Amino acid sequence: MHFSIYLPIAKNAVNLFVLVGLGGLVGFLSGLFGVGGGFLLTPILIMIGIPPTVAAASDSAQIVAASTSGTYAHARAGTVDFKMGILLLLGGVGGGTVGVWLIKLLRQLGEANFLITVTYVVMLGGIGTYMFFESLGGLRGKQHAPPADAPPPRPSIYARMVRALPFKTRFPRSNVSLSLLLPLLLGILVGVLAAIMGVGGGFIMVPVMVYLLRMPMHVVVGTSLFQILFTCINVTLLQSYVNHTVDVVLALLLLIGSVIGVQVGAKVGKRLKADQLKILMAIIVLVVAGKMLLGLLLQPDILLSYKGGH
Amino acid sequence: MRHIRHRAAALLTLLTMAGPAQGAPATIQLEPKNVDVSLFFNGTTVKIRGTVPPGRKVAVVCRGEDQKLELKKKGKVWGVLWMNTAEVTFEHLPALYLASTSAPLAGLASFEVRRQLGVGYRALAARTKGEAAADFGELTKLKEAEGMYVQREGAVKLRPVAGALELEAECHIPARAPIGTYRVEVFGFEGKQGARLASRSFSLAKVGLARFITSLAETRGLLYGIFVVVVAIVMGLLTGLVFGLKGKAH
Repeated sequence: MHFSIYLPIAKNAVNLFVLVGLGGLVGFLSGLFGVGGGFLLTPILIMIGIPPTVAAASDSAQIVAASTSGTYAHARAGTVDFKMGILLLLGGVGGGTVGVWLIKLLRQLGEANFLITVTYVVMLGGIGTYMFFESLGGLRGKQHAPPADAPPPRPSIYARMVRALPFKTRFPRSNVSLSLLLPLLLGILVGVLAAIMGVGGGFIMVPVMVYLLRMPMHVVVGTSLFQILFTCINVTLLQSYVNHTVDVVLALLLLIGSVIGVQVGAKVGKRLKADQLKILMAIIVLVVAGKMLLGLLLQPDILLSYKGGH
Repeated sequence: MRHIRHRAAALLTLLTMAGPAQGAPATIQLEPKNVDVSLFFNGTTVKIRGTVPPGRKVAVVCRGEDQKLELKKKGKVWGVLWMNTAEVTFEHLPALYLASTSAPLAGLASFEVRRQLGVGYRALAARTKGEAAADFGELTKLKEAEGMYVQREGAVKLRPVAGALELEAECHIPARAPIGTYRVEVFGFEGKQGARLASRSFSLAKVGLARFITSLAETRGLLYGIFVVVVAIVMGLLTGLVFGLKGKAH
């Protein structure tokens, strides 16, 4: 009587229900916040004995399913801005290519690992803290009246720069008017960061859409999922073709859980206010940053680990 | 192929018996004879039974094929942060190493004798050359956590029967053990001497669907990738549709 299954590519046996449950949990987060969830799932898979390269590659297949399911749910609710999504996606693909090339250069200079990890933790910590206090303010009913001590110069410079950009167009779904170039440029920026840090980028993309593109939170989630879908299709195909590291059995079990989780997440998300969503997301971002920081500060039990992870 | 291997193993058994040992010849049998890895595989226990000449202490070693292992090593950066700072390469390391003995390792024979026979972690460590040797302790921690390296003193049961000792031992093969050929060796120790008494090999091979999936992923990567993506999208759409209908019904 055992409910484990052997994963032929990962070359290890894992409990069936653990995989379906993990998929469900990560799918729920995807539906709620519009993140792929790789930042959470990949390390857990490594912990239960999946080789790092197989964990990351198979996880991307799971995200394809979850984000299809999530995009569908959001598209029905009218909360996917396809126009914005495609522009961000184009930028992201370009940025990703630049990022992969940049990381090679950094590695040659040495110290790259250190630089990457510290940037990652600082960025996560910064984004998380900012989102937390901003949404806390919103929840306390301060509405959008900025507090007296809010620094006006930075937003205004940013706003002036944004206004100066040519090719202005209207994004009706997001209810904003922006230059076509802005999402393209921000897409490149996120693509570069995501490639350097070795993560999908939903994490950075969501705050970028909220704060720099000023999109409504619910549209942010749907649009982010739409983008992640294409990024992960690309990753799954590449990993299958180049590295042979996608485990179909692992991916199937994860996605059975995640396609359901993502629907539940999208439903729950609809009932929450934007600020409630943001503060929850901020807390998760801060927890991940805190965990990474602890990992850096505490002495590990075993100093050696297999190559292939981040 | 398998015949030849079995015959070679039998021949080896004969040869090694011809040592200083007298009395009953040493023989071992494995149960199962080979290990099949299907989608239901969750590790297995290989039982080792046999007889050895009387008056011996015994060590049973089950080992996988030698492989090169490249690992990342954490170190301190700026005196505060633990990060991967170096790479460690072990050139020849058995993928699996399960050693059981009938008595404490130190009581079997001198370290020199154990080193020559490759019995115990320390004997393995002594074979590691270069910088990696200093990290062998950390390596055993990593491998023990996976169940790939085990050292159990006193786990081999010996029972005297007419003119010989009946031997019983177990090797637990974890699910993560790689595909390949494994070797079970029985060593006998008497006085200050030690010798290999018997040896037998078994294979660990994927069968059925597990085998089919692996070969598809390795030989037709793109097709396999497209299949995975299509399944993922269809599953995603189907659940979206089902939940959408349910939402309407309410």
